[in-house]
Amino acid sequence: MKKLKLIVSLIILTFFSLFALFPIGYIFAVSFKNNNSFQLSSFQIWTDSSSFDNYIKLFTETQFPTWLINSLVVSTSVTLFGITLAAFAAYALSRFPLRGGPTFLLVLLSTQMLPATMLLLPFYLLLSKFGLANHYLGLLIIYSSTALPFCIWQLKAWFDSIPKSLEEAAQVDGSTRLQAFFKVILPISGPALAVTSLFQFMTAWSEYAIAAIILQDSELFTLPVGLKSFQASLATEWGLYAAAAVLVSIPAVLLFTLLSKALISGLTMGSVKG
Amino acid sequence: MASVQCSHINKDFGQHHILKDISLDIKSGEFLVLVGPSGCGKSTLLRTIAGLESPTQGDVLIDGKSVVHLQPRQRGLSMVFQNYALYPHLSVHQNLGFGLNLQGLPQVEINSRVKEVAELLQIQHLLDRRPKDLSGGQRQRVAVGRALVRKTDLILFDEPLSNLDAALRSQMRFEIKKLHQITGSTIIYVTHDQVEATTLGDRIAVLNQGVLEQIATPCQIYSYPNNRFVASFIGTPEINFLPGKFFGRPEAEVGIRPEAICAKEDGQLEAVVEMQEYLGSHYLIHARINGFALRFISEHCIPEGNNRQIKLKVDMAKLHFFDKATGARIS
Ligand SMILES: Nc1ncnc2c1ncn2[C@@H]1O[C@H](COP(=O)(O)OP(=O)(O)O)[C@@H](O)[C@H]1O
Ligand SMILES: [Mg+2]
Repeated sequence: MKKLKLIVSLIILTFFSLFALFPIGYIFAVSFKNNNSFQLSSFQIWTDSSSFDNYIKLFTETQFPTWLINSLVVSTSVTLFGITLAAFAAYALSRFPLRGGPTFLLVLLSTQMLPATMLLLPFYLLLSKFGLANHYLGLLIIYSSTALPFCIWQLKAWFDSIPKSLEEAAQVDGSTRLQAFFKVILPISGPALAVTSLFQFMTAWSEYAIAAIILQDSELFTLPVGLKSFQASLATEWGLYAAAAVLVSIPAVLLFTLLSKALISGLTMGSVKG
Repeated sequence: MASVQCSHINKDFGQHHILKDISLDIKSGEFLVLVGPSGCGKSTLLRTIAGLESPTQGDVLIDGKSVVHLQPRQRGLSMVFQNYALYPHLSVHQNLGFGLNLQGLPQVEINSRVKEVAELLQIQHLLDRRPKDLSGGQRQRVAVGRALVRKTDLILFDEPLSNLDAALRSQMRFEIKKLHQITGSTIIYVTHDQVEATTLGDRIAVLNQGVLEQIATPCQIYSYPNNRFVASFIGTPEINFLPGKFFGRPEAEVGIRPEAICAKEDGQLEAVVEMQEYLGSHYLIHARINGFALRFISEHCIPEGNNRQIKLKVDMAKLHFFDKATGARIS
């Protein structure tokens, strides 16, 4: 009976693992092929005719390097800008009895209910008015502001779990309120800041719809927009597309690995006590 | 050394009137204990003195100067928190040095001050550890050390021993008393434990529901409680209350400390023994007089027999009379 259960669960798990892994393997296989076709003759990732030609071509004959840098710049600035705003806002909401604070938090959350695609047109019109269309600053503002409510909620939950007496002790010890925040609260908030930053970074890194509307100049494209442009030409360059897709996922994988320790403690945030 | 005055302090939290017109005068170098049942406003009063709460009305003066508009850091005091509030990301050494660092003292000076305090509290061997790697008692010592190291004239304690087990508590109590003698700082010490209050305090301030009921030396409080509440709150085993009619004072309620009663053949009160508790050096006897409960202390076990009827003698000089309606002391 027990054995049967084990076998059944193994089968189910194998099926779903394959289902999840197959596309990734497929993309790898296509990225190593030279004929720009999306069809595979076999399920081998690496065959005799495989090569790194697509990767080399990506860096030498396309604008991929520019897009990569664009994406890194945009995502990093969004993360730094967003996390700074979110940390201060969340701390204030956690510690100061603001009039209408709870209502404000709910309103903040309710903005998350509108999908960003619904707001595409208004966003675009607004940015054009301010001359920020086709400009990173516009993207930065939209990305930070759409991710901000979630980040504030997340960080507020963390700050709420830190006993107030820690800052009070610091204040009695001679620090100002702000010093207490920087010297005591922020240093023990590593896990929460890591989770929130990662969320900010990933949102910006993989966003397509807004970037596609705002950025018209291929010099300014971020990676998702750039990648899509491979399809737009007469014949889609599947090999290039696949190679780029593989490369795009590398920073994400790296970040997750680097932050994994902080992430695990950050995901169980409420249970951690200062 | 610092003197502290609280004058007509009132504190509201929303609709709740938590501190009610509290005036206190704490002498320089004094060890004052604020005692009262939990929720009576002790911490709020202490935090008001520290500057962590601001009074709705009233003034706090340190060394004669009003400090209500000053931040905690500007008041020249240190504080030990009930949950210790050690900085979790810093080592014990850094915890102790945190305040000195902010003052901008040179590292050499900081190190020597930290070392001095660590030796005083016997935590030299813990200096490199993080708070999470310390036992409760050790954390407590670090918290006290962090307050001492800044050599402030005024140190505030908020129930510092309430999270320790009984043995550790009585040892730390002794050490805190000793530290007071060494440093000579003014100490305001909050506790709900009346034993801590009477053993530590030069004077005790008894707080009840935001009202300062009495402030006096432990001995005065015990011997001349201002009212029924103070009489019942200070002293273990608790004082007995009997209707005044037993003593010819029908308008009053009579308080009798357990040690003012003894079993004697020629006693004036008839009582029935209900239970005896053996407490090592003595017995705590639970008796009843006409249905009213009475506890007293006896060196010997009361022999069974006579239906446990006994005669009790009461030391009339040690009776306390309280107004039936207001609870105030009648002399
Ligand atoms: N920040 C606050 N907001 C609202 N009520 C509070 C606050 N702090 C304390 N209180 C209330 O004030 C009363 C006294 O609290 P406290 O001073 O902590 O009592 P104690 O230290 O004597 O146990 C309690 O009823 C408590 O609920
Ligand atoms: Mg308290």
